[in-house]
Amino acid sequence: MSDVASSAEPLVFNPFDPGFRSDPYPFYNRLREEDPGHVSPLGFHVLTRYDDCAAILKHPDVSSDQRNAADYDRWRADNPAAAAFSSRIEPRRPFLFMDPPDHTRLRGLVSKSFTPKRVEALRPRVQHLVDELVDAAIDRGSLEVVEQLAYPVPVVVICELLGVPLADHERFKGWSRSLARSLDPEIVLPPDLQKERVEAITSFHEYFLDLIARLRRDPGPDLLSALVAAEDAGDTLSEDELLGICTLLLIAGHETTVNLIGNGVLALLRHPDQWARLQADPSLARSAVEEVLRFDPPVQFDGRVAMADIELEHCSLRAGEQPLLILGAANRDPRHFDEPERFDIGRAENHHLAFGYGLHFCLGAPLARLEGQVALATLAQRLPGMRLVDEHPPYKENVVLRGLSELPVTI
Amino acid sequence: MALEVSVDADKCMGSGNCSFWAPGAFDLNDDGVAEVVDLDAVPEEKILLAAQGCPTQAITVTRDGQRLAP
Ligand code: HEM
Ligand code: SF4
Repeated sequence: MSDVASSAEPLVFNPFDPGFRSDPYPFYNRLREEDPGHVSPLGFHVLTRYDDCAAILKHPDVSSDQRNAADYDRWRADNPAAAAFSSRIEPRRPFLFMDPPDHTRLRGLVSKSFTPKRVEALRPRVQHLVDELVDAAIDRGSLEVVEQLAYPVPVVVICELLGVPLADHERFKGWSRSLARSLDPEIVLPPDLQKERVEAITSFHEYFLDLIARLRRDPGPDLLSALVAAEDAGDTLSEDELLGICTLLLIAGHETTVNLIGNGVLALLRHPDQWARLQADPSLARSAVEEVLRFDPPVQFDGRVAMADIELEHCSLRAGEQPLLILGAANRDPRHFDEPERFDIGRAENHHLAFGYGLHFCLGAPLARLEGQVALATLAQRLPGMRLVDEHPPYKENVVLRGLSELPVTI
Repeated sequence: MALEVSVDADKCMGSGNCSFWAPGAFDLNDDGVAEVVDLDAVPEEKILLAAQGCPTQAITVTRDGQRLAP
């Protein structure tokens, strides 16, 4: 296969290599085609085929709670400070890292307020925000896509949805970024970043305790007020659980959609024919967003703990193992997608795994899609002359979340 | 024979998985519970895919009395 990098080099999975960060896909392709049951130097399985990733995500014998991993106790012993902190905030664990029945109960409470209909009602608001940001770019005569468009849109929306006063936003911008970095495995976080994370989580919790108290006295139409009411109404939701939910939503709403918009603009500008197609037919925005999610997913990795021995076609997992699922590799599996290396904004039947699959399927998917569609369609209509300043813009250091640190364009 | 599809509202946890894999066929209502909207909106394979991916096995699909999912 022409897109498979030279086979002479040994296959070693090292996501921290800067070259890997700028374009991991040739390496993913090699892994998926040559070594689908790859074992990383650190000893975990790396799954890159679509069927294997989907099989794990919907498997009845997997857990999202890392405490079930066989090497969890060793990690605790080796990292006493981090372990002590983890234990302290344990009651505030977000449901992303929980299993049924707690996961079902907490997610159920939130999804009542996060229905596609409720999200679709935000469309005019999102359009207005994007238009204002594009107006400002036109006035300035320049646009840095990440900071001046991709970041502010989801931040304003999630703050309004949750009921966080926008004026407070500057305060937690930094916290949110350190937490996004902290989605990365513990072992790759230097001690100063671990410390930063502890401070960020603590600050978030203090902030939200305060906000919850305010909303309890003076509730609004927002999601957080509704959840506070649910907490007050009975024993379905504890205050600690509520804090976990707030932090999860705020971070998920902050650090993912920004990458969808950034990665999307980059892909479109690198494929001028597709960029022209979107200008000619704005109704392609829907499938264009799905194609960006497939082609360059903002969340690259997912993981589970095997709770029993699991046999996959290409590897056998033992109970307690934690396979790494590379969503960005599964999304280019030729067994599932015709011409997977082609960026085609009109692609039909695009069943990518960018939002996961099954039990933990992304709760914010309708919102992320809405924001992505409005942003890309509006740019195509109002700034059709956009061009990349740098063909190879820099990436953020995060490993799990893949996104640009800046994307300057000429307009 | 056409597919017969139902969602068990008590089991549904509102994941949105089905409305993602078979948009138009399923949608979440105001209570965050999935409902069957229009089975002709998507090809049958998609409905099966949606049902198989349901995390709580809340979607039952039958044809001629024969159960296809879960
Ligand atoms: C393009 C943007 C986004 C992408 C690519 C994305 C991706 C994902 C993925 C892959 C998962 C599954 C994790 C797993 O399997 O363990 C997930 C879960 C989740 N996402 Fe998103 N997400 C995005 C935007 C959002 C937004 C805007 C929100 C909220 C406002 C959000 C909230 C959540 C929540 C709460 C979960 C946990 C669901 C659960 O555990 O049941 N996401 N997301
Ligand atoms: S996939 Fe299942 S649990 Fe999720 S919304 Fe549909 S019916 Fe409900």
